[in-house]
Amino acid sequence: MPMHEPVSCCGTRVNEARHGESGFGLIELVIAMTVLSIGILALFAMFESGIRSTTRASHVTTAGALADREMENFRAIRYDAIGLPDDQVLAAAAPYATDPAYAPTAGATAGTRAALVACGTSPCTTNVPVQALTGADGRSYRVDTYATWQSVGSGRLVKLVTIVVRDGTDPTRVWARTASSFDQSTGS
Amino acid sequence: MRRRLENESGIALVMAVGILAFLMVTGSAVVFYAGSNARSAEYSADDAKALNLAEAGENYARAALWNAADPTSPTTFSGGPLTLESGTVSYSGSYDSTTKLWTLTGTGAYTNPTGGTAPVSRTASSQVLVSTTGGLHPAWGYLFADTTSCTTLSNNLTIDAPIYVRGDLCMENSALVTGDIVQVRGNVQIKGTASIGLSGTPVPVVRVGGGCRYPWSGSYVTPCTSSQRVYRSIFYNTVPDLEKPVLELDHWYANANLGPASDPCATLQFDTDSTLNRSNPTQYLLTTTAYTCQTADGLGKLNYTPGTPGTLEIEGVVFFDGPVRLNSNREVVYTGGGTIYASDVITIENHVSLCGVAACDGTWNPDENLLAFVSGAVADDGFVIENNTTFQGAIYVHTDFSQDNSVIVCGPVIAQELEISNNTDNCFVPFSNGVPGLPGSSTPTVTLLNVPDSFTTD
Repeated sequence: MPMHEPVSCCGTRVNEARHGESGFGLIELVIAMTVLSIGILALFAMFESGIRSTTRASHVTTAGALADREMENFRAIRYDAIGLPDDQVLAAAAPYATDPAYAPTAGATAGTRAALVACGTSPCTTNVPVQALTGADGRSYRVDTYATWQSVGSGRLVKLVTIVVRDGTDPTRVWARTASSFDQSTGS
Repeated sequence: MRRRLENESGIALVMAVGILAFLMVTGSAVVFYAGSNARSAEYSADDAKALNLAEAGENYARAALWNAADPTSPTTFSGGPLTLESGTVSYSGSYDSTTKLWTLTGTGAYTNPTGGTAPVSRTASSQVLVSTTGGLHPAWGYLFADTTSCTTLSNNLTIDAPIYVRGDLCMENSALVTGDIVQVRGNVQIKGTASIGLSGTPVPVVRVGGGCRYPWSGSYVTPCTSSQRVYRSIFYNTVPDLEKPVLELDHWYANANLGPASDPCATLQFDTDSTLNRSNPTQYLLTTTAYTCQTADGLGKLNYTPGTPGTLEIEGVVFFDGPVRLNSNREVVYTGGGTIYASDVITIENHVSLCGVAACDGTWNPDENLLAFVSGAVADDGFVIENNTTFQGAIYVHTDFSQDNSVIVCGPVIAQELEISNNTDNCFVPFSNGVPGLPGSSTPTVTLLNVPDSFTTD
């Protein structure tokens, strides 16, 4: 920054002060730092949002795979083995009983729980209402299974199986839920 | 100018803005990628859920089909859309009466999580076979001889049909049996060039309860082999005990759709005295003039139009309390399904062709057109078919069945004795549906069978 000699004429001094650039670099730097800070903060927020989305995608994918795996277990067994041990259903920890798929009563009519009376042959014994599983992403999940009777218009009753995959640490958070039905002719 | 260019004041701000812009673009790309990844995961999850719903829909269709009183009518149905787990399910079924196959389809759909207007939709389908069983007496799968004496096949004849003989089977001259299965509860004796099967084309299964001998002398041996001119692939020395179906002549006299108790016909005469006593004069079914004879409900029908060929429509059970004769160079194609009962002898003779298809060949489908004759005669030969005659259909005879002189019969024959000789051929086209009035037939039981490996998704 150039140095100037003092002058006698007041008008000349004002002019020089107006055109003087002393301290201007500091102001520029402060403004730049402020803008940069705001920008970087916004950027961090964006990154955090991205990470959350990625994490959520990972959860959804893993939970979906777990739900599908559980549904395949039901496809692999005989129709009469599709159901759940009713004592375990009644003893299942919250929020199992507050889920919309939960049927309050057991029975053999539409809207009631499909209770597993006799296990029959393996692998029906693996059908439990609540399971704690570890997903492929290494996180813990809780898989809740519901089996109820459902009526079909002009058809006979089918067994409706609903799989709800919850967060392992916060079971109120649902990552995936899926449902399918089974007719008697598909494997009795 | 040069001084201005050399002046660096304000460059920090410019660089800050530039770097910030670059970082913002990079950050936006990261966020966009992450969001896209999340949407993709959601879409993938919904896709799997939609497939589960599609299978649910397919099972709804299955539940509806299995609950139907008649699973062949109507030939289509549909249901939905139903809401299930925030998605929608719809289902449908369509029936192919030719192949007897139902194609069941379920569709599951979810709202597209990526914001697209088209929902995430999956379809699952599979096939179900309608099988009709239990309606036919198993004897209708054979040329069935009920006698305990020897059933004799002689001269130049070929039986290309399953045959079941409760007694012995005697073959001579150039008689040949080539059906898929031969079952004889007694003994088999063969002489001349007669044989069961041929050395190059053996009969797949032969069951003989006694033994075989060649020629008609010496002791019977078992298992039967080519030494006794029995050429077969598999031999069993046990034979299932099939009994001749019971004839319910009284029942059909009173309950036939067309007969003494239901007579809307002007041309044909079913009875003379309201008593089952074989009093009716011989009825000639293939005449030179047309006749129409049918009930108002259409369940009983016997309509004939002469021509080349002529046509005969048959539905339900028709009963004549006397003999029936079909003769005189008539070529007739019949349509429909029904049984003609005669309490006396039935005769088909003299260049008559009575077939279920115009070509009178293997294209005949007895599950579409089938005419059955039932003879309740007490005479020795209750059914006579002879002299250059061809018939496609089913025959039941209370007494004996006589077939000779250049005759072709395609279909099962059940009789006390089978008397087949002289340049005759017997062939067989299996049928499963049967027709009303067939002795030994009960109400068919319809069974639905899931077709393996027919499950598909898209």
